[in-house]
Amino acid sequence: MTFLSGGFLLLVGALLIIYCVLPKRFRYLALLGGSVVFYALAGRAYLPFLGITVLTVYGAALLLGRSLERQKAYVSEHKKELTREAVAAYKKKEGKKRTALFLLCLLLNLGLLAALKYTAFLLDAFRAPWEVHWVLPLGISFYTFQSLGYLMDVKRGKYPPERHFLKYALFASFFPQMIQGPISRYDMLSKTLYEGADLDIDRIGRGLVRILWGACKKLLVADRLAPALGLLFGAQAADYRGGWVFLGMVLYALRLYADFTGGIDMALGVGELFGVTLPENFDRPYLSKNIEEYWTRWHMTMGGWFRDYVFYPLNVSKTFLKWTKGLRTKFGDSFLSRLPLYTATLVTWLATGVWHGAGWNFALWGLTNGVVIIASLTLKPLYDRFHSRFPGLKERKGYGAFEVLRTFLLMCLIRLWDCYAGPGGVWGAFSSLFTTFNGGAVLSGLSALGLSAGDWLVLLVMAALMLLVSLKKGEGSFRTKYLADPWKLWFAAAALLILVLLLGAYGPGYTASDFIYGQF
Amino acid sequence: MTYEQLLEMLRDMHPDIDFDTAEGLIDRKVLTSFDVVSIAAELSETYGVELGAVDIVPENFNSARALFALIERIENE
Repeated sequence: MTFLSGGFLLLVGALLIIYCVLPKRFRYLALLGGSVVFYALAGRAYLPFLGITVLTVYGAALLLGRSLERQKAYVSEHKKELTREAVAAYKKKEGKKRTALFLLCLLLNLGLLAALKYTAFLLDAFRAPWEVHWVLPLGISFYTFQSLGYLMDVKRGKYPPERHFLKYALFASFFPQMIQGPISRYDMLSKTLYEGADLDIDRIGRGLVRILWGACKKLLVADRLAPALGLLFGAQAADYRGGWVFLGMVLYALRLYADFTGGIDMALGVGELFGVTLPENFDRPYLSKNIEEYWTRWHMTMGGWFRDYVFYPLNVSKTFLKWTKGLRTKFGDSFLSRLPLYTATLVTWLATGVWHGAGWNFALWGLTNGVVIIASLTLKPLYDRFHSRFPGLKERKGYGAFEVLRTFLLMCLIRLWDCYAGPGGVWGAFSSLFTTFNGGAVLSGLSALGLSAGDWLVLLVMAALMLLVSLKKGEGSFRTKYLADPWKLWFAAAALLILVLLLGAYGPGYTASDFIYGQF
Repeated sequence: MTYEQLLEMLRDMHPDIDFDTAEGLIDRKVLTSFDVVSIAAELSETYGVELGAVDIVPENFNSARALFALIERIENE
């Protein structure tokens, strides 16, 4: 079941009516009921797996919270009679117990995720004589990471655990985020998830506009491009080299953006219908000026998860700090003394790649990102020296545009790992960019992609519109800035609906394609 | 560790920023995640102040004063 299926639209409509009819304090139950129905409709076999994660994380968080409370009470009760060392020793002993419990829950849930997601791939990779066909529950990577983030926050004492089981279950399974995220944080999502929002027609209008804008991106752009990209990157990929690779890279960037941000727009819009604020996942990523900035603007909730729960803890762990200190004493402020930082970067990016899916390409995609980030970090003194020789260059608009274009193309190149099968395919495509470009052949053979002049026009207009919205919205929300009047809002909703109905690309049976990130 | 020592350490990393007055260092993306871990490593190595993963949140790194308040809290623990 996806956002654009009839079943989903019916479910949301019915749920909205039930939600508004119920007394405020029970409205979260409607959302929980809707989430269970959604998940059961997506696949009844998925439910036990979600149940295991919900139950184990809920229980472990409660125990961790109780242990922290007990520790606090004990220390405050015995403050006068205990020395500082005794308090530290007691905290260490209790901390070890909590770590053991935390690791048990972490391993159980990561083990489940890894078994379901990677077993088939590993058996194949190591040429094992048997194969498995296990189910992969919808959104398992998203809900597992969201739940484990919550568990880590409780363990760190960032906030107390949610004691109400049904409320916790809703946090872990809220249906709009099950298809492709975003990965929410409990302290942010819980502010609006249980509140029971009042019926507000304007808010519903804003939610609808966001859903329809997401649907436009998905149906007018992403799904329109899917068959052409299937041709460029599919079984006949070897026939499309040089300029075709370049065109494919750019069109794939457009499709991925439209598909993923469109899906997230729909998820956030559905949340908004119920007064629930889900976290933003994108901040105009294609306007980034370097790769590090790009990763703070693209899939922000996933990047933030790996930063806060993998990258930072690794870097500030005693082992890494000791390692850094040893290297600095030996090598001073040189490249070698940064080895721990680079190792943490590569580990984080390898994990990010593997999170995306089972396959060498995903791991290599992650490592390529890590290596490019390390290279840009290492070369920073050179950039700084360059800019000190040309002061004022950074502030020039033309140079800014160059930086944006450079980053866009760099990310397109890294994404070749998404597009071609295996390192051989990626290398063949990459090298052809410099050996057999032949742009003229691409221009004269464009019709082979199966896109009509009308399709190209829709793609160009939508690309321009998406860019315009990005530039106009700035730091805030486009709807708040330009659609504040109710009549403008509802006019926009009607216009977007007409666009979706008239110009959407619908496949066999008039259904939308699956979301790219839905497979992760 | 004094506030002046912290300012000096930060200025060595980013001479172009006036850390005494700058606010929103994380929110405005002035400091990156690499800057944050470099600060953590420097604090541990030079001043023996060990930050935990739980301390690395935007509120603690948005200004030099917020960071200094965190350091004082850790030193007093």
